[in-house]
Amino acid sequence: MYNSIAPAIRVKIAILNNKLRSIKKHSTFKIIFVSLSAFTFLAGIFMCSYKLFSMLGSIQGVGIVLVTRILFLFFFSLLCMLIFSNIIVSYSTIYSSEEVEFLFTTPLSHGEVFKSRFIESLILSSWTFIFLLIPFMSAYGIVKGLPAYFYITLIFFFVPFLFISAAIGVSATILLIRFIPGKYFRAIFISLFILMVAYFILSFRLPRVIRPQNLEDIFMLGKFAPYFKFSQSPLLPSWWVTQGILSFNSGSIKDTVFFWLLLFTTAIVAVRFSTLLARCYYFSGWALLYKSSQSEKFDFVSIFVNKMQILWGFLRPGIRSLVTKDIKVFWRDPIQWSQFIVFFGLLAVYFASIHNLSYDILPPMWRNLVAFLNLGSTALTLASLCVRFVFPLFSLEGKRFWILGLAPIKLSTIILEKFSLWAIISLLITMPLIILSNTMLNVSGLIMVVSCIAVFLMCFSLVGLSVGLGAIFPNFKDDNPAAIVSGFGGTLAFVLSLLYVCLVISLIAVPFHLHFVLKIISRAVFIKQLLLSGFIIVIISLLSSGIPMALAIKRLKRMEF
Amino acid sequence: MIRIEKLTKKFNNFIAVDNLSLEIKRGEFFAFLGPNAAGKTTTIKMLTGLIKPTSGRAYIGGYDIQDDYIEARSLISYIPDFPFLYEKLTAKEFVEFIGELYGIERKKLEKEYSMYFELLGLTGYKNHLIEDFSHGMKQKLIFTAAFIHDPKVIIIDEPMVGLDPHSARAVKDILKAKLKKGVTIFVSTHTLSFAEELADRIAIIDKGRLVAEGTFDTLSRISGIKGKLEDVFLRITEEENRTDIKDV
Repeated sequence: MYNSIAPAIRVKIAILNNKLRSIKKHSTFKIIFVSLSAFTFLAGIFMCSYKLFSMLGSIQGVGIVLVTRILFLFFFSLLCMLIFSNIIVSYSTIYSSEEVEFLFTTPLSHGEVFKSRFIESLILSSWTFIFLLIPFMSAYGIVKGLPAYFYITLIFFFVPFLFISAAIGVSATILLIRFIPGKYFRAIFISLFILMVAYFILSFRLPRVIRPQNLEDIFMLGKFAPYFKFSQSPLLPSWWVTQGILSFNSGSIKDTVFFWLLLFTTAIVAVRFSTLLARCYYFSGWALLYKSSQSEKFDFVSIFVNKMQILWGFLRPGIRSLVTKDIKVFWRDPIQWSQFIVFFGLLAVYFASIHNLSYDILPPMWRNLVAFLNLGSTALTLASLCVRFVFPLFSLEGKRFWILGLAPIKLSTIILEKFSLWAIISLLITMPLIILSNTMLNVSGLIMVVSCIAVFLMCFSLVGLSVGLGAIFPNFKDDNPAAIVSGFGGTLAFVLSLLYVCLVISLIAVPFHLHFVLKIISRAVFIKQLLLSGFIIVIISLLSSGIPMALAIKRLKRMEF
Repeated sequence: MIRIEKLTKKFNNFIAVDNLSLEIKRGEFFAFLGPNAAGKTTTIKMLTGLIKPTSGRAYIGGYDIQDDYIEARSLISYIPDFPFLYEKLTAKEFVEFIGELYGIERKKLEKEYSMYFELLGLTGYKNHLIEDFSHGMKQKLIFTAAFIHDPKVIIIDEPMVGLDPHSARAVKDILKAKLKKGVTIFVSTHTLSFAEELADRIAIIDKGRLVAEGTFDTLSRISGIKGKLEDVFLRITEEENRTDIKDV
C-alpha cells in the first residue's frame, strides 16, 4: 500500500511554481506597482519600529525596560493573532475545502490527509505575520547592534513558535467542530469570542485612581502596564521566545539554548497532540460538518435578515432582493463573518487601550497628536474594512455574474446597491467608533465635530473607491476574498485608500497644529484655513469615489457574460 | 465486487437512503437511476466512504469501506458530477499527482496518461493550466485520472455531462474495454440512453428506497412497458399527483 503525504506536498509546490510563472502574464507596471507597494509596506514597518526602539532606548533609566516590554508585548500579540488566524484558516483549509473531499476518496489515510492540510493551514495562517516579524526584528537588531547570526537564531526560534501556534489553533478547531453542533457553531463561536474580548478589555483597564505625573509615567503605566500580566506569564511560548532573544542579546548561550529547546520540545508535543486529536475526531468532525450542510437547520441568518428587511423594504423589489442576497451570502460564509468578528475584536482591544490614555493631562502637542492619531486609526480601520470586505464583493459574484447580467436591472444599479449598502454599514460602524473614542479621550467639541464630519465623508469615498476598483479589476477565478484582495486591484485600492486618508488627515491637522500647538495663526485665520481644507476634502472625496464608480459602470456596460 | 447491506442514511429526520441492499458482480456495468434528490449521490458517497451510513455496511472487493477504507479506496476510482481539480496545475501535473498518490511507477504512468490523453483529445493541452479548461475538458481530465491507476471498481456520478459526441464515444469505448478486463462500473446518471446502451443491470431508487432492480427486460416486465428505458423509468417513478402539462 502506498501511503505518503509527499505527493500532496509536491503538488502544492507545483501549484506555487505555476502561480509564480503566471506572474509573467501580468503587465510590468502591475508587477512593479505591487512589488513597490510591498516594499514600501515593509520599509514603513521597519522605519516605525526603528524610531520606536531608538526613542525608547534613548530614555534614561526605564528605556531598556520599555524595549524589553515591547518585545514581550509583540510576541504575545503575535501568539494571539497566530492562534486566531490558525483557527479561522484551518476551518476552511482542513474542513470546508473541496480538496478535502477529494483527498478522502484517495488511498491516503485520514491522518495523512490531516497532516497535509495542517501544513497548508500553518503556511496560509502564518506567512503574513512573517512579513511583520522581519522588519520589526530587523529594526530591533540594528538598534541593538546585534550580529548577523542573530537573524539566523531568530529563524530557529520562530519556526517552533509557528508550529505551537498552529497546533493550538488547529486543535481548537478540531474540538469545536467535533463537539459543537453545526447549527449552533456560529452563535457559540461569536459568543466565545465576545466573552474573550470582554475579558481582555476588563483585564486591561487601568484603575483611574493612578494619575501619572509625567510623560514617561504615562507611557509606563497608562499604556503598557495592564498588558504585563498577560504577556509576561512564563507559561507562554511568546515569553520563551522573548527570553531566548534577550538571553542571546546578553550573551548567555546556555539560556538561549534552554529556551530554544523548551520551544522545540513543546512544538513537537503540541503537533503530536493535534495529530492524536485528529486521529480521534478529524473524519468524524468532517462528516458532521457534511451532515449539517445536508440537513435543514435552524437558520438564524435567514430569520434575522427577513425580520430586518423592513429597514430596506422601501427599495424597489430588484434592489431590495440584491441587498437581502448580499447580506445573507455574507453572513453564511464562515470565512467572511469570522474575519468580520475578529476585526471587531481588534477594535474592542483598541478601545481598551485608549481608555487607559490620560489624554486630558497631556501637553497640548501630545493632545493634538493623540486626537489626530485617533482619527487616523479610525480612518485606517475604515480603509482596511473597505479593502478587505468591500473590494472583493464584485469578484465574489464570480461565475454567478451572468445571473445579474441577465436580470432586468441596470448594471449601474448593482454597483450603486453595493455602494449604498456598504456605505451605510461603514457609517454604522465608524460613526459610533469615532464618537466613542473621542468621548473616551475627552477631546474638545471642535475636534469631535470636525472628526465626525471627516469620518462621514470618508465612509462614502472609501467605500466608493473599493466598490469601483473592485469592479474595474475583478478576479472571477478565486472564491477566497483574501486571495482576491491580494491581487493588483486590491493593492491599488489599499494604496489609494491610504493616500486618501493621509491627505484628508493632513488637511485637517495642519490648521489645528498651526493654531493650537505652534500658535502662529489667529483664530480667524484658523477658521478660514479649516473651511478651505473642508472644501478641498469634499472635492477629493467626490472625485475619489466618483471616478472609480463611473469607470466601473462604464466597464460593466462593456462586459460580456 | 460491490456489496451494499441494508444501507440507511438519515439527515436529522430526513431519510436520504432507506435500507438499500445491492450486490454487483465483477465485470458488471450497473446503472443507478432515480429522480432528483432520490438519494443517488448520498449512496455513492457512502459507497466511497465519504459519508458514514446511519446503519448498514458497504463492501468493495470484500473490504469494508468504513473499517478498511485505505484498502477499499485503492480499488476505486470515483468520478463526481462536479469534480474537484487543482485549477493551478497543468493537466499533466494533475495526472502525475494522482499517479503518485496511487503509487504508480513513473514510466507506466507516463505511458498510461499519454494513451488516455490521446484517446480523449487532451494531448495538445497537457501543459495548459486546468483553470483555462472548459467543463468538458475538465471532465475528460478526471476520466483520465480515474483510469490511469487501473481501478477494479469505477464509480461515476453523471458521466456524460459536458462531453462532446467524440469524447462521449471515446469514454463509452474505454468503459467497454474496462468491462472486458473485469472492472466493475457503477454509474449514476440521468442520461438514460447511456444506461440503456451499456448497463447489464439497472437499479431505480426513489425517495431513498430501491423501487426496481434487474436487467432492462426485467424492468420492462415490471413496468408493463415495452419501449425505451426512458418510458420504463417514467412509469416506475411516476408520481400520483403529477401536475398535468396542460396546467403549465
